[in-house]
Amino acid sequence: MTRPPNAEENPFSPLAIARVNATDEVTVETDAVRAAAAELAAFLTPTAPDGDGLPPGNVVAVVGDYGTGKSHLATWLRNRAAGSPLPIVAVYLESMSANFISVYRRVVAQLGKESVRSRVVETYKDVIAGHLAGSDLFRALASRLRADDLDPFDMIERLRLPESELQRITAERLARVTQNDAFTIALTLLLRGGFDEMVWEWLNGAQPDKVLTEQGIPAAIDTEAAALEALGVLALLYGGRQRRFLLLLDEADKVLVSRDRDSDFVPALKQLLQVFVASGAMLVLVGLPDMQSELTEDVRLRISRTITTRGLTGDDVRALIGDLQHRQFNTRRLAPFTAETVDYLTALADGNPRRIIRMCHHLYRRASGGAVSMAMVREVALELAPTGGATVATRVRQFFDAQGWDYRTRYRYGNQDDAVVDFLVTFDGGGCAVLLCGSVLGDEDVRRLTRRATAVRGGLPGVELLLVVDGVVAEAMAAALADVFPPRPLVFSPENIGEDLLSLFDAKVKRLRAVNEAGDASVLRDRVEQVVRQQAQLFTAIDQLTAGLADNARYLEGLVTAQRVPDDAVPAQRAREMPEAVDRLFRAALGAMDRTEEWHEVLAAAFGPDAARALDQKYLNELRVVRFREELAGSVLVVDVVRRLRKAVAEWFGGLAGDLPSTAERDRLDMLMLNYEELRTSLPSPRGDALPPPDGQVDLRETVGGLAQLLLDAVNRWSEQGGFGPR
Amino acid sequence: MAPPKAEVNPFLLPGWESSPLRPLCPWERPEDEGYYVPINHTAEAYEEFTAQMGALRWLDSGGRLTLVTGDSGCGKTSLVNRCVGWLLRALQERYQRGVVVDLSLGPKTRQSVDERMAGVCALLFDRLLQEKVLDGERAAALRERLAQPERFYRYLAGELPDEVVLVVLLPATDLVDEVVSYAHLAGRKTLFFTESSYLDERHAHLVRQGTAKVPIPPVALRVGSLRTGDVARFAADRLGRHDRGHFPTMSATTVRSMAGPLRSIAMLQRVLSGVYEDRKNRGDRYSDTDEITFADITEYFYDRFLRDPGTAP
Repeated sequence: MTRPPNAEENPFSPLAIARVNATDEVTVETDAVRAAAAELAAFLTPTAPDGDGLPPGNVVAVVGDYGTGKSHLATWLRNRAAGSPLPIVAVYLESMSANFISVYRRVVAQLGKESVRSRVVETYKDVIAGHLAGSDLFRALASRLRADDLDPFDMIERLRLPESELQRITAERLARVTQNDAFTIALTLLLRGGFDEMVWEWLNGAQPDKVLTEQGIPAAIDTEAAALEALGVLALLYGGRQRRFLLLLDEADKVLVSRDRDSDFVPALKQLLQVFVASGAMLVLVGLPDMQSELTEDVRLRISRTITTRGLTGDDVRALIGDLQHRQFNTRRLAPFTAETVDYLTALADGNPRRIIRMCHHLYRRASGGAVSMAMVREVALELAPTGGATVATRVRQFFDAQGWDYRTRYRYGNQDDAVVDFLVTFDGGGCAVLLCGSVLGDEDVRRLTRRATAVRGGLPGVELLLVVDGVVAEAMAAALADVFPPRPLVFSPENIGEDLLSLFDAKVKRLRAVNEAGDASVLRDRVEQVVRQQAQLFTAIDQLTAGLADNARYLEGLVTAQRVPDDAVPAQRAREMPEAVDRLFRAALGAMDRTEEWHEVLAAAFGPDAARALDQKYLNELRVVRFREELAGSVLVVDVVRRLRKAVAEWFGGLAGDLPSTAERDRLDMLMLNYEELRTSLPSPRGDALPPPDGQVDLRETVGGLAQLLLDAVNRWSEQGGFGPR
Repeated sequence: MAPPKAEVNPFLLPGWESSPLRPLCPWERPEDEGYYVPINHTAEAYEEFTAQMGALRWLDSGGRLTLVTGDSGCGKTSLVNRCVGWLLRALQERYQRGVVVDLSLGPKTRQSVDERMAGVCALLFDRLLQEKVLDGERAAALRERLAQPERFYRYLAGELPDEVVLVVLLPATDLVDEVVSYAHLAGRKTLFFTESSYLDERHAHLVRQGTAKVPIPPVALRVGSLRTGDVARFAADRLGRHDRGHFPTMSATTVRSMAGPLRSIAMLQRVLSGVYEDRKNRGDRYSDTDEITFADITEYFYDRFLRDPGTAP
């Protein structure tokens, strides 16, 4: 039913982050979407029943810059595949993985023991049905078995069918499918009672139990080559003539970047891609544009298609606004935006869908039922600029520190007030001055920066200039700015500041060498090599930082503290309580991670007054399981983040000036949610495999992963009902 | 006057009507010996066993392991029991007493070989104490060796009464290494029997390789699937026992029709005993002149497996 649009119901998400389970997300039909849909449709075309061999598989790369909708496209593909009439298993993996061992383990965990076992049982059923179908007496039984009407194990027991012979035939068939002896043994053992747990542990990467070793499973899946082979086995097991397997690996660049790889990594990766193509399975590698340059030529050749996600155009954004309003109000309209304001905000957001939707969210609220003006667009663009100046300066300094470069901060080279550069990096053959500034939106901004550049060049002759913009650069200003700061200014992005700086510094050094022909070129060459060498160190450092949960904890502590949560306790004297419907969401999220809470108690008991008592062996045994340990470590941090968000939201309610939140207060809440979302997506997702929720039906990706959106929805409902006002 | 003959199910053993799949066990119930039918290669396997055992003179110097392989339901356990029955009689002729300890339901395959073997030692030790084959006081030293099968079995032989020979029916296994270990452990006065549904000729070859240095090599017997004529032979044997009571007949054509789909003795026994029991329970057409036809068997299947899949036959 059509509802009149109103200012209170904001159709634009303040988070604009792809939600894994969302089936109602709006997708603008860009070229990338059309190309991906075509690939998927070809993959899902049913195979002719009388045809030979397997349907063609596929390996597709989806590449694009941050926020260009890669993850959205991947989840859209997954949801679209799930609607196929063919039996399909689609796994979408948000990559927090450092390598393919982790990728494989997460795929297995997401598939689940019952799913893997049921694939094996399906093969078993087929073998039994084949055994029975040869005689008139059993033909009807065979049909019922194939139709999933009878339990194969019950059938074997009641008819006293030759179980061992049937299992042997099943094993031979699995061997042909998996082409892997250890997997054949492990999967066949799933058909025999008593081996389930140990096989499942092994499939999840644990060392094989002695019993499994005796059965012929020699080693754990704990190398990248083994993990890649294991992923191929899963593709073979789940793909096939009448079914499909789709694996979407987001942020694949993180696992594909070349580091210290074993020599068998590349052949194993090539083999994996071949297996996907040959097994009726589809692999979608999603990553940054340079993902493919990290691959060797022969690996690249096995990717059949590369789809690039680009920034949205003004037309795309107008269509998106129409679609989102249609979803909310069942009426398609552009207001409160106009064609001009859409073009402007698209330019300021550089076509980045995430930024566009966030801007639309704020603009829609700010318009309060009126029209969005150009001035409002400019204001919001400035407010939503990624970070404050202190952070960008800190990140640039961290980068120089990581490179081991000599630099000076706030370097003064004259007596004038503006005769200061933010960083001066000195090379043997010259130097580079780094200037920081906010958003560049108009001619006045460009003139001011040009004056500054001229002053620096006059005061520090021979020095290269680099401008780092902490905000946005209006499209119309980009060309003029590039002339003053060639080859282009750097727009700060916290995600890839390191790579951007490296690339620009590399260009600067080369330029210095070209200009300073009389100088010592070898010094400059050394410097370039140093840059390249140090790049690897930087990536290693970043990896270590990411992997180091303890460091993360400190980092989070800082970020969360920045949200001005003064202490651990929810204020006892609250003028206004957090509504029950909101608190219930927190309780559900924390309750779903109850096993993590239980561990807090275990640790408290270990060092409490009763510490003389030995730790319960059950907990120590759990800790010895790698998968359990990894999940626990991640969950502990997530629980902490959720608790802190709960306190912050309680304070937010307590501090509301009126019965309903003002625009500024709503903005602050949005920011809390945005920060939660950024933190949560940077942490290992609690998957509930090793630490299952007490209620097995709870979907952690929804209760914890979707918490921010659920909270915002709940606050909206609360506002619609009058907030703290009389009911 | 002799009492009138009762209606009987010819495919169930007398007194064991509620256990249609009980393996024959002549070492425990000598009357079972008369129910063996030469099908499934079992007669050849039995003959091979007796030939390999010979006059048992080798028992003076050591023990021996017998491995029986074959798919599920082919009659491995019945063959083992028949061999054990022969063995007990042969020992008697040598003035020795065979003590059978059946541990076939002992430790499961989901334990490691070491754990299973230690578990078998513990079970065997307890059973020998219960049966008073071992002297309680002298057994204390043996108890300390339970976790070390090699020492346990070596020491055990010395603790057994002079006339006793142990016949141990081991749990089924699917591991060559376990079979080979037991072959090495079968010392003086110890005879092991084990069976496997998962080991085949290829594995038997590996067992032979692994036991090449064992003084008295193990006996490996293979039970195959039903051959042409086996179903008819088995049906004729059971349906020829009219002295047991009344039951319907079955034509040669019906028997031939079943020979294709029923590929193991357990399946055959399950189906035929079920069909006859079903007719018997209906209370009509169960005289010597009535007949079980292939249509009856088909109907039985329909009733038991398709109309109500949840009802066990």
